[in-house]
Amino acid sequence: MDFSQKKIRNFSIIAHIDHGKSTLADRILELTGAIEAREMKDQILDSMDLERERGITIKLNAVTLGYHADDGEDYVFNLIDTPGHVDFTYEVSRSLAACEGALLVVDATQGVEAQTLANAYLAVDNDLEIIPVINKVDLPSANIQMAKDEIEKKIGIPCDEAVEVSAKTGLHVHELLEAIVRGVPAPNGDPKAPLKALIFDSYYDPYRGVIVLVRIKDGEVKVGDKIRLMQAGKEYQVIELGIRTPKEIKTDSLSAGQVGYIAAQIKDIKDVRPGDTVTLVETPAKEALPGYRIMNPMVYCGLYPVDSDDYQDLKDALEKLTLNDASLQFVAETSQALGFGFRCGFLGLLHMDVVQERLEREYNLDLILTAPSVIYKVHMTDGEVINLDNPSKLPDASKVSFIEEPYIKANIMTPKEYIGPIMELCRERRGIYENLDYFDDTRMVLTYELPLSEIVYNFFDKLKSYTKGYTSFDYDFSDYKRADLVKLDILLNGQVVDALSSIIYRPDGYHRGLGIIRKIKTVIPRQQFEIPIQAAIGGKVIARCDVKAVRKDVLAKCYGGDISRKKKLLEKQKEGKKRMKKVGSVEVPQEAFMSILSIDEEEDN
Amino acid sequence: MNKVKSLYIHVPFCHKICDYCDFTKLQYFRNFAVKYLDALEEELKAYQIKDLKTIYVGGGTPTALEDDLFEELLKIIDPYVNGVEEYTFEANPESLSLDKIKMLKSHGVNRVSIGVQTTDDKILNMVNRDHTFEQVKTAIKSLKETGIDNINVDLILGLPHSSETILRKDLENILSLNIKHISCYGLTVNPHTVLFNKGYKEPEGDLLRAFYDTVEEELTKNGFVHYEVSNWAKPGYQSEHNLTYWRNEEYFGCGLGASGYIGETRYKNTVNLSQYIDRVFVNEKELVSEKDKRTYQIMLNLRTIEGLDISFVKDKQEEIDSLISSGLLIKKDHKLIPTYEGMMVLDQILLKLI
Repeated sequence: MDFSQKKIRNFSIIAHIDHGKSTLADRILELTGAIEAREMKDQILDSMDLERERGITIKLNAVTLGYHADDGEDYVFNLIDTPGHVDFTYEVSRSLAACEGALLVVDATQGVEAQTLANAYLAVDNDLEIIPVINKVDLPSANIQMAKDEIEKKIGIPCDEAVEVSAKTGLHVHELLEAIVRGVPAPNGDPKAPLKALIFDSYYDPYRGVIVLVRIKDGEVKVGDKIRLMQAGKEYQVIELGIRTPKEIKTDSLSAGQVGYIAAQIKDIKDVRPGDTVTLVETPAKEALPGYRIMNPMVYCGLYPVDSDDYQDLKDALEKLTLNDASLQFVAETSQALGFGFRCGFLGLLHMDVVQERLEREYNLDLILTAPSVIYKVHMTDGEVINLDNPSKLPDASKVSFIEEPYIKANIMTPKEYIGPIMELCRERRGIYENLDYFDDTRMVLTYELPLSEIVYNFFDKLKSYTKGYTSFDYDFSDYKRADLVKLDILLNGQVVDALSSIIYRPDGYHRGLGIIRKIKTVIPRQQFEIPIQAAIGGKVIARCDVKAVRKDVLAKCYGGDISRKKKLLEKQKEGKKRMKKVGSVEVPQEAFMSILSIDEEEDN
Repeated sequence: MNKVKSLYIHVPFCHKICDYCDFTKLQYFRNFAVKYLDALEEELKAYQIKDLKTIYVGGGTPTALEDDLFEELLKIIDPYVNGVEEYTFEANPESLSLDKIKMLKSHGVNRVSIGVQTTDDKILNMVNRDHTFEQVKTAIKSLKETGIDNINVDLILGLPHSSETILRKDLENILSLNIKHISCYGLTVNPHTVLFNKGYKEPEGDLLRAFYDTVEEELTKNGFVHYEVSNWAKPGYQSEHNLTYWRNEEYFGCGLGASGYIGETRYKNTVNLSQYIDRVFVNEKELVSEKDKRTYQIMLNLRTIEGLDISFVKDKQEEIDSLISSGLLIKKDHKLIPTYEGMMVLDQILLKLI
């Protein structure tokens, strides 16, 4: 491959979830010969199982492709994938900083959505050249003109050059590749200047240590060079360089404009932070690249191993995950009910879900998550302010002057017929109405300020079901506001379970308490004795229900062939029991600790 | 090997398939039955079976065989009958003719177990049972007249449309027959049964428990001993054959889908008739380790009032104390014995002790 800068095109694909970004990436990979169609797993860039299953891209990934263009020249494409979900704005900005251009994919059947806007603005912020791509034009319901009009009107990007493709069938993807050659500017770094390479991702390889993915902005790095991570202040010797096509291909050097990987026997994952700049020890750059804005976690929860022997494994796994997920934070904590674990901070609920699943799948850990909480600012009577991320730690009410909670500003884009139900939902969730605007003839954008804690609790599902899925949602932190908040405790068999405590809006207390205990009742298996489940505020029980004692639990027929089967079944049940936490004398399954989230108010009546 | 004292023989044929049945069973066809008996004879010969104490012939419906084949089956078993103390045949009321009863008697069968399920003819009809309570009475009368008075009746608790009233009527009817042994099984709705396919749900545990309470009350009042989770017997009439299972003792199992336990091995025969006729008998084998053996011992022994020798659960003193104090077990000499309450929630006990 020719690596001269003018033949390099570095770009990302940005799109709303489900608008076909990953499928388009696959098609590009296929057409550039990176992979044969038959050896393709669908959507190759989404390499984590989890991404493939959920159809979302979580971790960014990069691939170098060769493309023989119609002008007879060979080009090098570096496609840097971005996640599509609102939780991952941070990662999107990371990918974009490594590019000169972006493909803005809009589904011709859906048009522009709230997230498309948010991501397009990020691209504009990063001075990227944007190529509009209208996808799914093969579908009967496609409305290409509508999609183009929306891109022009809502985002303000001209659509004369928009490419109309079907990522699914491959229609016009060739034209898109030509548009990339023409439309995405070549990098213009100085190959002779001191090395500046932007770290945009990294992962751990058991044989070579930490592998660093970089975009070389200026200069050149060669195998054997001594390098320095400018922010971390650490130095290493380069033992291997290469590009990923997506197979790794070793090279002797990487120079300005290129995207590739560096292996330098880096042992400690904590030393490598995305956004850091790599330079040479001999001829260092004067100043580092701007790096990234670190996003602060908005949602916290307790993460505990089911088996307390797994504590150290959980710690190691969390450390590995933070390697390329700077927004994940964790500190050790203890719970009376759950033992030793960690309080973890996440960008949002999906981020939390993804981290949990990666820990369970990739690290084979059995986990208990407590219900997510936001950070409350607790103003004490003595003037002290506590940032509280764990509801069970809320000091006694007599010492608390008042509590503030974080609000977000939410933009909800919806077909206008759903405005009524959405406003009702926002009102129930203590939303403060700000604005209602027409987005186009059929859709409106509602702006509300909402307490983040209300979003954490079952908001997305409600929104989806109220609007049959025809709504997109986007939010940003706004500020802290004072609210009438109290701690709701849950008692099992008379004993407060700290991991089940939550902070709630006082007037909702009875409803919320009843909802939670009823939900817990459905997940706790009946045991030999009756188990009262109580909800209490300030030591006063406000709601109660009971798990009745089990009265029949025996296999009626146990003769010849039943015997082996019954033994296997018992052993399986015994295993299942090991996954439960013993709280006092009560065996509590994992789901119970999340039940605060999934309660359905309809059942409260 | 001659310490194996019990033999189970499976006869998989039925004239009609009951809605709730999940046993190995097949529609009866004469030519299959003929070939089946040939294979069975060979399978029996392959084991070194002698000095048995109990034989149990179950199904399916052993009495579904036509008279000549029924006699043939009895002849196949004859070589093993000498010295046997309890020789049971399962029977359905509609196919237990006087002729068959006489054959049973002359071949040494001394115990008959009748699938009655309920005495409510409407329910019987609804679950595709082919008999009436009148036929039950006739069959039992004939058995007694022929000299077989060790009779068991099976009841199912919680059949569709059943109720407390119907159950009490069932018990009254059954007690009036003056028999020695009654088995009551809570209905289980297993996949691959007609009931399951009809979308019928298993009765709630609390409802089944209420039914069991009624059975317990009525039968103990009438002199029956509740000696196993689902079994009640007049003193001296406990099923010795079935106690073999619950004592975790060995037994031969022959016939389609039958299970056996010999030496260190538990095995299960094929459920595929053509395989069986081709003399491919055993399909699964499980080597029983010491640990497995202990688990079996606990889960089986605690089903009966003979109980479990405490030496098997030496390391579980704390659990045992709590089970005793919550009234699920009692300790008698070196044995742990389940109370009625304990039998009803046996799995809870087992999960603590295994």
